[in-house]
Amino acid sequence: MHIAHFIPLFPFLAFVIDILIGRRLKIASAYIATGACVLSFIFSLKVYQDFSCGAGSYDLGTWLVIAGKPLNFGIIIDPLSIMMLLIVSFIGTFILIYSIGYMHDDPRFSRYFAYISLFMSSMLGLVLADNFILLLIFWEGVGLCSYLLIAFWHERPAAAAAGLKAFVTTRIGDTGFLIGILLLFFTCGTFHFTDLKSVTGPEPLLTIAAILIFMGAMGKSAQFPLHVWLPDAMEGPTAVSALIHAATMVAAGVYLVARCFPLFVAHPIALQTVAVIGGISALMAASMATVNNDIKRVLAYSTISQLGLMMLGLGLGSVSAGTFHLMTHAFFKALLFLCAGSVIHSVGIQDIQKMGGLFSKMKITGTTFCIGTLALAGVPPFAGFWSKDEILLTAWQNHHPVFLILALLTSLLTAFYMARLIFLVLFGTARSQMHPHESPMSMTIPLMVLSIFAFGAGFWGAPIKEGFIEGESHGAGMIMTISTLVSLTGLLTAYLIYVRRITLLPLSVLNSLQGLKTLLINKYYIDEIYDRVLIQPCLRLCRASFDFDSNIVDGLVNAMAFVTQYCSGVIRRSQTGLIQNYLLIQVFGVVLLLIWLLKL
Amino acid sequence: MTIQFLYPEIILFLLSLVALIAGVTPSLRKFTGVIAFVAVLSALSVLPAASYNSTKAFFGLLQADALSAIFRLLILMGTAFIILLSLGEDKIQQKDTGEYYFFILCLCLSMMLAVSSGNLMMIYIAVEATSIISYILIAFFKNDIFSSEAGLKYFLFGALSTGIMLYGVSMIYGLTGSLNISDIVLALHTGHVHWAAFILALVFILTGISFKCSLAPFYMATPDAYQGAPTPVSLFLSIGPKAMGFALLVRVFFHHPFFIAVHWTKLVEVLAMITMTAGNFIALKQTNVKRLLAYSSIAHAGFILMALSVGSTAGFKAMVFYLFIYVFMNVGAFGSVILCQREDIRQYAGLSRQNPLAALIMAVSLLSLAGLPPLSGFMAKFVVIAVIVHAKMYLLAFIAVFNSVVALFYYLRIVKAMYLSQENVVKPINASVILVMTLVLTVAANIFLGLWPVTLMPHL
Repeated sequence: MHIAHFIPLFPFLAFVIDILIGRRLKIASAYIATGACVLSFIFSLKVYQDFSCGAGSYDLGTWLVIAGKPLNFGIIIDPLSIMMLLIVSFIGTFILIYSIGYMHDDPRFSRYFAYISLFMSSMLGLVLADNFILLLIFWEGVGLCSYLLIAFWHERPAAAAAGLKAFVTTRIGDTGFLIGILLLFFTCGTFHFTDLKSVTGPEPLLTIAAILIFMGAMGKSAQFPLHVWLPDAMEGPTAVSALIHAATMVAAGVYLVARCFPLFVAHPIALQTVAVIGGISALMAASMATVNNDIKRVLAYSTISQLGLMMLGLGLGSVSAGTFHLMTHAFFKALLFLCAGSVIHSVGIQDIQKMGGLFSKMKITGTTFCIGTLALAGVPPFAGFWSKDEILLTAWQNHHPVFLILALLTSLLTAFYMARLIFLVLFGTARSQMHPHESPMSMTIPLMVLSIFAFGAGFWGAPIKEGFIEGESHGAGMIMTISTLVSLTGLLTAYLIYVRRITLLPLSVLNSLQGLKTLLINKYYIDEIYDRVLIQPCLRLCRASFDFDSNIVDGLVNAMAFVTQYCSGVIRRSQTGLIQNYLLIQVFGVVLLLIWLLKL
Repeated sequence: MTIQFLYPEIILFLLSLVALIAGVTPSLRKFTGVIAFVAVLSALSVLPAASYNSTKAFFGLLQADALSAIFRLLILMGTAFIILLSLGEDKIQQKDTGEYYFFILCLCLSMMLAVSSGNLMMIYIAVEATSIISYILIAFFKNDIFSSEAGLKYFLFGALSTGIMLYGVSMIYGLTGSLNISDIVLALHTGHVHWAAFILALVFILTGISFKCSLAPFYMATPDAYQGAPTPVSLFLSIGPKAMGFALLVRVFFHHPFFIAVHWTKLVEVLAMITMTAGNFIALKQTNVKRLLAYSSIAHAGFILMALSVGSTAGFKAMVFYLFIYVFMNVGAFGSVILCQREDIRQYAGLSRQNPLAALIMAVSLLSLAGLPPLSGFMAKFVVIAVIVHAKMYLLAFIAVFNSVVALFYYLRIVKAMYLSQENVVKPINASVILVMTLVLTVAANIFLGLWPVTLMPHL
């Protein structure tokens, strides 16, 4: 048994304890969950330390045999999984600490920590799994937990609906994912990631399999057109948003693509699909973030957009760029969500138009918020700059001008909406009655620690050097300069509009842009289109099926049950209780057998 | 070599005498159960491993092969469970008679001899011994009118069955001049055996064995016997003699290619269909849980028989797999009846509130019997149906699946009473530590074997 096998086990034990006796443990349930997470982190560090002698796949024994091929409880240890282990357990630890303060007077305190522990366990198992089936199990576990957590305050109809929406939307992706896995198995006969390098099979089938697997990633990582669930998922507790959005659940999709990368590389059409979907999601979500007024939703759109950038990086053929951005994004987005949570905790509202001037009242939150913003906006030398630069550079070097422009536009919009966010929240004057106060230590310490990483994580460089482009290569300086200028332009524009209140464009142009704004505020009407085209017809079909079922199918079943019961009554009469009859039946039976066999 | 083969039986025999002597000594009487358990464990420890080379011993009276090895293990395992449950059954403990465990050991011994013999006479004697001890054990509560009635019925019915069987054995001797199965096969190859008379004889033997397996239409006495007998005895009857019966079916009818050719498979297929359908349909309307479980065991016999109807090694393996899992499921179900000390379904109302653990044990065992995943009963059914479908016997597979659906109904009736009923029936629970531990073990086995069936597969 490899020590990595224990990593998902600790949070799982914490889940079992918390779910069974959490109510009696009260606050201790949170300490158990946090302790388990810390243990997972320590073990992940140990795995990292031992990595040089321990790369590869480790089996815990055969679980099932499918079509003559064993399916093992195997884990995979390589730079990618170690990076994910460290990120998930590290950020998870701080989110748990933060939650102790944030959730302290919630009536279902221990239940929350039980769910989070199960989530951590599934997520850690997900990144360790060495085959598709095992990964799928944890994948679904993560999906279940996110449903439970988003709908955690299920008394609120919006939260319940958001949980359902998240579950159903990701389920659509998961269906494709499952079909993709099975298609892969039936064409190549393998579930194992290590075999992906050498799979061969009939051509269109494998490309389809790869795209179907990517569908799973689209659902989990909230990529267009399955992105609709993520903004609504903001109904959950804020720490959950951070967990789901930053380090873990949505990153699972990117992780999946990185894990199956050999499959995508071998099939260029699949790889291009990844890039196109990523690019569209990045720009689209960034544009929607510029007009939203809900502090958490802005961050949610920003997450979709950044995930799109990661997918773009992967789709352009660089695992290094995609995973590097995954890592830095995990830190600064977790930080931003926790900051947003701290603000909401303090003022009790989420509408940024009603906030303002909070910086003077909340020094720590304000400062860390600014650090996170600069990191996300991609201002050097903050973490986001380095990883985003890697993606831009990949696009440049692989001669994809369209994707390069797409990414630059996205980063312009990113800088703009983030600057808009902090100018409206932290600076200026208060626009409504608020009594802001700094949050407790358990909330501010995670903020400070995470902000150190949001600042410095970029200096480590990409954790995975596959297809990594060194800084000195051709065009690097130019791309860096352009990227910096773009970010600063975005920040400056927001400053002029929201702080100086300067009208940059003539009124006539602004008026003509009003239509665009309406389009953005209504999220490109995607929810409405889905409702008309998919949900309503689907509901009609459901109603028809229900009628069919309750009248015809149930009728048949009831008729069958009636007949069965009746027969039962008839056959039962043979059991008279009289031994004479029993003996008679027996002799009769012997005679019947004889008649049959001798064909009399 | 030959004597080594008999070590388990010798140990059982000697220790059963010790148990008997302890039973008549008032000061030692309470230890008889423990002695019996030790006897079974030591027999298990010296049980030779399954070997696929068949070896004959004692002039062909005994036969060491895979069949005997597996079924001896199965029977010993079942006996161990019965003793543990009996130790936790108050009524047997209070009756203060020492001979109970002696009989249990004798029953075990005779069944083990039956499954390891290749000689029809030996088989007959062992089967007859099994029957006689069963009569005594069923009527063990001789002051209880139901127990006595059940014993008498089982005796009359069994006497006729074994009588017919003996008749068949003697006919075969008359036709072939031998009682060793391998010699009989030889005689069939070379001599001029009267075919119709030979079939007649085989059908007579089948009758005797079918009574032990409680196959249709020879199950008639089974429900009465199970209902009246002490609950651990009912359980034993549903496991031990049944396993023995199936072993004998394989030994006599399926071990030699020659016999298989005689349309047995078709006959067995039809018998399997009738048995499981009858068992399940009658069980639907039962209100007594022990009687319900008796019919359920008949239905399961049909399912097990179905595996045999394929007539291949795969079918045999599926059957053994099913039998092993069946032991755990049935021990759990009957054990819960001992634990809850109630027989009427209505008395199970609200059990989940009165004693959640007892309700959980019962529910898991019943759902496993019903064949719901991820419990082991599902895997057992799955393996058998897979073998059938593989052999392209689609009608049989359809009927099997249909029967599973019907069966679900009556198992769920009990579960529904335990968990969903609003009434509360307050009755004492027999919370003997041994009993609860044994049942928790079976529940764990039920879950474990359902999730990791492979742990059992390679040993078959």
